[in-house]
Amino acid sequence: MKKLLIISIFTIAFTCKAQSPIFPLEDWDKEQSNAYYKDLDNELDTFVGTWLYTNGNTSWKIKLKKEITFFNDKYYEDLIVGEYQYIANGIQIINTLPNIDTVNGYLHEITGNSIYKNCDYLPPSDCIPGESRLITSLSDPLTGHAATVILSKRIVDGLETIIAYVIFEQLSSYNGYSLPKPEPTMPWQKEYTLIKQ
Amino acid sequence: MKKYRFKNYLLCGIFLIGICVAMNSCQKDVIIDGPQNQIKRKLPKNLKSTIISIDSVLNENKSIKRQLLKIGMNLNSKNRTLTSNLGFSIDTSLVLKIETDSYNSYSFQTERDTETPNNLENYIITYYNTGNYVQHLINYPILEDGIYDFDNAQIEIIHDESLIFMRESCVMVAEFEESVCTEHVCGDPQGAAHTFAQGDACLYWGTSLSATKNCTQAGWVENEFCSGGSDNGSGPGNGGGTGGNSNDDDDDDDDDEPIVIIPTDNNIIKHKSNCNALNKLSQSDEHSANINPLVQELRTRINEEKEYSVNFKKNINFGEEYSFPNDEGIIEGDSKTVSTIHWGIQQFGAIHTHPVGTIHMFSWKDVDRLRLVYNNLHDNFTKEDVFVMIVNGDGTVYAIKVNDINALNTILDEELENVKGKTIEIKENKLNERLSKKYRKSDDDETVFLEKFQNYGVSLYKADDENLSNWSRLDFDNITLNNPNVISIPCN
Repeated sequence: MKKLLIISIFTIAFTCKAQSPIFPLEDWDKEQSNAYYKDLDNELDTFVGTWLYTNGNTSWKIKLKKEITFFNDKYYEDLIVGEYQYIANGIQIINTLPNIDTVNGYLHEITGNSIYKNCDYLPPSDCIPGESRLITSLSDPLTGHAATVILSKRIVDGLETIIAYVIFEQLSSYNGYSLPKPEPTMPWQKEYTLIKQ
Repeated sequence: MKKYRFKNYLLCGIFLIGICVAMNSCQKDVIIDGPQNQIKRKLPKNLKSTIISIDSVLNENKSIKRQLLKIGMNLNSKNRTLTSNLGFSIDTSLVLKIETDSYNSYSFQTERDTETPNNLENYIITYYNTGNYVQHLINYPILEDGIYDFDNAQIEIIHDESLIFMRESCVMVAEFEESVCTEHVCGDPQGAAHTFAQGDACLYWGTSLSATKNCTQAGWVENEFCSGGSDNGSGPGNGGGTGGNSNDDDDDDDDDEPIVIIPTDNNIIKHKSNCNALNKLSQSDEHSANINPLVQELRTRINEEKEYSVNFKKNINFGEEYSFPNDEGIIEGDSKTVSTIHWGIQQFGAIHTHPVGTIHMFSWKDVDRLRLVYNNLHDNFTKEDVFVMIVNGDGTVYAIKVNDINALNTILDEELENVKGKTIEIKENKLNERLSKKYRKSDDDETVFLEKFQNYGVSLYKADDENLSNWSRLDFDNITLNNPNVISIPCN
């Protein structure tokens, strides 16, 4: 019995010692191995859900969910991940929504957890200083393009909406000469208003 | 047993004393008296200095390969620095070559595990036309104002067979008498085509590499003295020097040719070369890119919702190199964070805007594009001219330059290798976003850039005025500190 007690004490002590230290998400740049960068104020939660932009026959639907304690090979982090469907003029251009529950972490086409509260970096047209904006990355598996997507939460006519400012990057292989220049499947730069479904 | 040990010690002691006596005798044989024996005469007219790559050195001089191998340097190494078995390494990113009618010398900056503060050390190997060679290790104390202290330079001769440093050896010294020279900014000393010859209007010399010196021939003198010796040491007015011969053929007259030494500090040379290249961009002569009107035009676009860029290319006509903007002129980018940087055999740089509402510092991709431009520019063009410049929404103008393309390629490739992502675009975007997050978190973009890229083989420059008439390199004052300060090192 005494032995069992000693073993238990040691086991508990070691277990406590081995737990990952928890830091706020914004301290990610410390990149401490095995630490947990946590969304302490649950700011990511407000972006979770299915969101839809429509304009005539063109629509963009995104599904976002929160992954807790995703291990990125170095440390743990809370992360927003998502997939999307883009229909232009009634024609489906891309649809990755089926992957929303089949892959994890950075294998999703939309990923990010950077909350930014100033309006000096790529602000939407109606940026509100101090509001939490979520900066994510979107990849376009059809063309290889990648984009920055900045999400701002709004209530419009009583409906939960997000403003998504999408800015695509050029292909790394493009040296300025190839014609035609490789285009992403969505517009290079556009602001979308999406309503929660 | 004890008897044997004592006997061994005794024999060993006698042997060492014998060697010391022999060495001392040898040294005395070649001692030339100090300042009282100084003579002055003009240096050879056909003195020429160029900065070349280690590959060029090895190609043009097969013997140097053997020599470097003798002192333990692994020439198959892809590292920028080659380590000798004499306690020092040489930085092979730049080699200063000095040619005269009777010899060629190659000067390298050395590195040691423990650096001596305020000291510059050079390894110099000199080949005479006779086939003889001599190796020197020269230490220049650096005075407070950054000037090399020739008076107290220490010169050692390396005998590669015995690997013995012959301190207190006496040498012939070629010295530059500054009083008869006037400084002025010269052309790029690093470009292959930019050489100087004794008597030219533009000379490149030691005490202040920021400027070159226009000197009368009377400025070049030769002093003979012993350096570093206690009895015959260099006195005031003596310069640093070199000399000696590791072969037995000491009687050959050609080997008495005084060897010119120029302090080879790669950081300073690169800085000055970068400065010259940046200043050259603003010049409006037919050889230069004349960027100022284009920068002014870009400044008018910083409030727009797109990036704008202009790319620059080179051409060679009858051996003359010309730089000019691409025919398309200023082009609109695809978004607020995208503009086109061209790379190809003629492209040597680009300027683009970082508009209001974006980060006013170079992105990871900008640095990656810099290396692509550098790597793709044809070797016949002056690679040192390669640049990427940004005109920011807050009015600032920055430029980045390559100092060490091998380091830059290696580190960027490693980063791309180690970051997870299905495609190169996703990997690049991750690296870009990771740096952007740091910029967004900090209110000091310059510090973030320098922290990130301090070992990448690139330098960051900032225009000091609207006319781009002066640039300053930004660097940390002391990288060993936890919170180093950003300092400006002006070009002019």
